[in-house]
Amino acid sequence: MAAIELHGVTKRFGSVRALDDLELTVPAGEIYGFLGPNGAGKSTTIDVLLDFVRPTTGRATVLGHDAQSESRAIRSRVGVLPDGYHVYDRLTGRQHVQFAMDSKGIDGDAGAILERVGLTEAIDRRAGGYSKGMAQRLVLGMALVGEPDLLILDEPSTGLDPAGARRMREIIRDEAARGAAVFFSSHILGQVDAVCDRVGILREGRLVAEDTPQKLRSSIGFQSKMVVHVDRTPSDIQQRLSALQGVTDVAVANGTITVESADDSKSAVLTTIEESGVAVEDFTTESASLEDLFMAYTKDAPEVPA
Amino acid sequence: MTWTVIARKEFRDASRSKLLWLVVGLFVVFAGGASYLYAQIPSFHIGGPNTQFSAVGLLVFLEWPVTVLVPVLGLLLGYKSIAGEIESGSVKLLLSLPHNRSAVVLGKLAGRYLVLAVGIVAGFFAASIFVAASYPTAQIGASIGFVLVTIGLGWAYISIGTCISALTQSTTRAGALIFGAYFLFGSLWQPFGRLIHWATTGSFSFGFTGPPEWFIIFSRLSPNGAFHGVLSGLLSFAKTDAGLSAFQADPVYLSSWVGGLTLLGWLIAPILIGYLRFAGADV
Repeated sequence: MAAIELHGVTKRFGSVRALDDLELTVPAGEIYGFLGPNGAGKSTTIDVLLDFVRPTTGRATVLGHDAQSESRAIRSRVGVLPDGYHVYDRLTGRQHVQFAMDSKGIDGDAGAILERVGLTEAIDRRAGGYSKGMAQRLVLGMALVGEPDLLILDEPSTGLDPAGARRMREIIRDEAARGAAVFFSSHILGQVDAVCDRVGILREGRLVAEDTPQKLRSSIGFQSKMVVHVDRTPSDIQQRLSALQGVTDVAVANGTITVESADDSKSAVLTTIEESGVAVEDFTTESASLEDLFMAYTKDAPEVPA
Repeated sequence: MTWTVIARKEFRDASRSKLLWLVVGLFVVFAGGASYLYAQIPSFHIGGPNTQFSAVGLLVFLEWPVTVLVPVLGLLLGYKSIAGEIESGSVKLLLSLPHNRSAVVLGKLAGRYLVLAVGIVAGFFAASIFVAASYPTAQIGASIGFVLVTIGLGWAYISIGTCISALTQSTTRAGALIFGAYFLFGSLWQPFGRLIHWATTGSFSFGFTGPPEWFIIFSRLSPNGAFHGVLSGLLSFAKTDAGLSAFQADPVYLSSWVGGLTLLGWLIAPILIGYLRFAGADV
């Protein structure tokens, strides 16, 4: 039984099509990263899974239950960190977690949960006084209550400093190790890269790519980016490098030549540069990051306000 | 049942609202002050069937501050209940947990009903200190009845406020509409009735015969009117109040029961409407 299935899900808000015939499956126990630019439809997808909004057409199931007709059963087995939430200002952090436990009919130690997410001092203070990062930890804590079978996290590292974000990733890994599936959306690519089994890229309501981070990188045609520092740049160097097999992009600037290519084309690139009589002063290489991948898949996307 | 979990949270949350306790405090001052005034000023002791310093007369006198303040309390408790959560986004925390939307509405109502009941009882309790001091013959039955019906009025207004909250999904619009509701059901209801009378008869006045039957029924249809109807029966001045000297017996539409049912209607119908809207909405 899959953790999440979306079949032909379309959602229209008036004339805007937020989700366009979306097909997506997340098997049980997988950590799935959901990427996309602002306005791609990531939060709307999560809203459909949780029955916050109803799809115009199509069907979604979570843990085998229909997302619209069996929503309560879903929400008793799922832990959620939503986007655009607001805490209850007059209730304390401990009361929030206690409310989550009472709602799911679980006994537990609110203090232990809050300790796990790194909220120890402010636990009995009113949540209205929490910083963004503290509120984020609090709601993550609420999501972890009762060891859910699936965690749905919408932009989980929002408001967290690097230490907080790292703790978040550790928690995600620990939960997956326990057997839970994790579905999280983000546009902080470094976070996604570090933990996901698979990544899906959403653009204008459709899935445009889906695979392991490694395979996605190799599929976009380059794996390496080399920045070569040179003493001069002959006028034909761009042409000559672009003609090489395995080279996908060449950019020439003052004193540097930046080449994107497949891994095994790197030496050919360097040889070609030297053969044109240019002295190579230095060069650096970097593997294609998920950022490059993201840009490659989404660079034609129109600007959508957040 | 999950609505009890929500009710407890709502009670805890709403009972920390400073604005609420301000209104309750005002109510205490009003009720206490009115009780004191009534005892001091002989010329106020009219309309009640008994003599001066009558506890029942005091209850009649208290009807006015109640109808001014209790609707405010109810509407304030209701207007943000749904709209506030949707607007701020806290509804996402609530609905991420395994609650049906019906449990959300029920739980919110129950929690807020309880806050109002506690506030009203506290207010009357404080006022009763004056009563015990100044009125040797307290009418316990009528007093308890009065408190209960007052709570009923407040609950009806919580329902109205919650309905408006669910329909507008915006706290600013809800705020404007409860303002309108307050005046419509309060001071504007009877003038509105008179307007209809003028439109159908050409005259604002009721003349010798007094107000027509439909006008009296109409008067008792608003929550405040229904409240008055229940109280009338409770405090038995129905005949003189309606100017119905021509009738032999109290017509059924003036009875406490009808007033009570009308008030119950104002408690239930807005909730159903509000729930239907909330259940079908995207949040």
